[in-house]
Amino acid sequence: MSTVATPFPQPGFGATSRRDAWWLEPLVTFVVFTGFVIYGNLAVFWPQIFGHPYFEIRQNAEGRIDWEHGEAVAPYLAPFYSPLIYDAHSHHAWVQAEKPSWWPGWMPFSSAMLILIFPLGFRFTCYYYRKAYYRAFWADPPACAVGEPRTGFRGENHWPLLIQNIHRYFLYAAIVFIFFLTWDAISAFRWPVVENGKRVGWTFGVGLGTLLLCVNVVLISLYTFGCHSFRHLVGGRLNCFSCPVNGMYKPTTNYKVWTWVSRLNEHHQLWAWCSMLWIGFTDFYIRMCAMGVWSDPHVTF
Amino acid sequence: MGKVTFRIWRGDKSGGSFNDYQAEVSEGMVVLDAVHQIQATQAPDLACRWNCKAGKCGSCSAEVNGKPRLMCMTRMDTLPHDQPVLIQPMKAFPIIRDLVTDVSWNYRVNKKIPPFKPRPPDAPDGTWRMGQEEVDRIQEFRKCIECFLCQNVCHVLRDHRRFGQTDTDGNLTSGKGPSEAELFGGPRFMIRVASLEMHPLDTVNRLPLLQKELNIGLCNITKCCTEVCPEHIHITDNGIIPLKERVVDEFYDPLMWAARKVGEALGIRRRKSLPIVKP
Repeated sequence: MSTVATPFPQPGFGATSRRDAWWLEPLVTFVVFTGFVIYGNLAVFWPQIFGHPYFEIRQNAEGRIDWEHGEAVAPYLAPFYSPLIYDAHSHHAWVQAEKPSWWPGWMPFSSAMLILIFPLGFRFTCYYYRKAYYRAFWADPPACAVGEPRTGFRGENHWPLLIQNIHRYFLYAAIVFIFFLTWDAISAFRWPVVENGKRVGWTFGVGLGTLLLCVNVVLISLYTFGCHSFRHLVGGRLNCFSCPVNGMYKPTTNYKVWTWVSRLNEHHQLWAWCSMLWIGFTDFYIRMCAMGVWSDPHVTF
Repeated sequence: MGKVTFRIWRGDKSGGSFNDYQAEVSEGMVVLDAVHQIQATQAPDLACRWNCKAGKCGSCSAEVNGKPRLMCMTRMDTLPHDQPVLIQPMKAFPIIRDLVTDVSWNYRVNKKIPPFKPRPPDAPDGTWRMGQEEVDRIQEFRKCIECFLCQNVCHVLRDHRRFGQTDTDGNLTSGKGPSEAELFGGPRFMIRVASLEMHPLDTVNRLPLLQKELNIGLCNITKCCTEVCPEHIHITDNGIIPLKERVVDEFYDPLMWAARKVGEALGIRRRKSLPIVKP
């Protein structure tokens, strides 16, 4: 036997006896989430940074990219701008105007500013994302059995994190957004027929962007309908899944739906990552096509 | 597999240090086997709590290479042998001696939870009926072996020391505000409350207890409890988060509040809250 002067781990940031690469997961999370937030801000401020919002592909009569005088030649709408509430020219827009009349003149505007709070709020208050960013950004804790940088702790019992209890309301909005994204995916098969820079009709078609938008809505749905709050609302709140009906104990519809949602919920983290990366790439792809950097392979019938 | 060095913490509440021991490791051994070998050959005074050696009694909880584990369920062939295997007691609880910690605080938390109180029997012979689906859901929580690894790894207890305070009657209580006087029940007791709260025959409402005394809001769902559970209970996803959602129903959601008011107006019965059981 020999005595070793190894101190018992004391509190302090990163203090641990763990020997594995505990820092890898929070580091990857930090880098990817930061990248996503930066891209999200880029998307919102695209008009101010790149001159125009470039949420759809517009070309002029010569077949060149022309945002101001061109016509939409593909049915895609960049998902960060969906639903498109305000735009002066796009057929996707609900209101044919540059911006709301009440919008302060000094404030930069893009249509994404009106809507992104809902999907971002849904992800910010999501139980999985909470785990991920509490670890990666707050280091509270950075990993299991690893010391923290701060001694103070308020948890979600006090302001400001008490606001996390609003998650189910963001869920309601997220479900509405699935309808918008589904509509965008269906619309991505309806291609404009453009002659001499003017739309003269519609035809059926499929492009790479169509496939991206379709997969996007599937992944977002798998993520949204595997939400912990959704699982609670469809059946988890009940204590009795098989209350007697006419004296017979049989599983209720609540139980069946709860079971399906529970299966999705088991992989909530996976769907969170897949849907986040996919929607980011889909948005980027459409913007690159809209700016003429990439060209979208497609067939129309 | 040859000789392996074990670096084991020796000491008591006044202090201690890590001591190195050599043990002959063979195929199929677990860390607890090596500790027993060291006890038998080199350190007969090494204190270590154990009982079943089968991962069912929850006694031999410790931290192996920095990770909270049951020593009897940690196979030697899963650990690197090129450096000493570090064994230390659970960090969150007071040390009694060597690898043995005082986990009695957990039993004081347990006393705060009102026990199972079923509705009147369903049948004239004094028995109840419940569906298999309900049994399946709460059965997972009944697998808990009370090893307290989840309590140990939970940073609210481990780092932020939310062990509450003791009142003049000797009862464990929660102080106000964000301080160490706040009591956090910890994952194990969230699971115990979940097993009772989701029980279809039970009649007690424990949501006020969860929110105000066990302070479920202090949990920021970092899932370490789930990661270390030797029984693979989905503590966070199936226990704590569903309870948090029920607390939101009860205390924070205005739509649920309105639905309750309508329910009361229509005469729909709700479960009543019982007084909290005194220890």
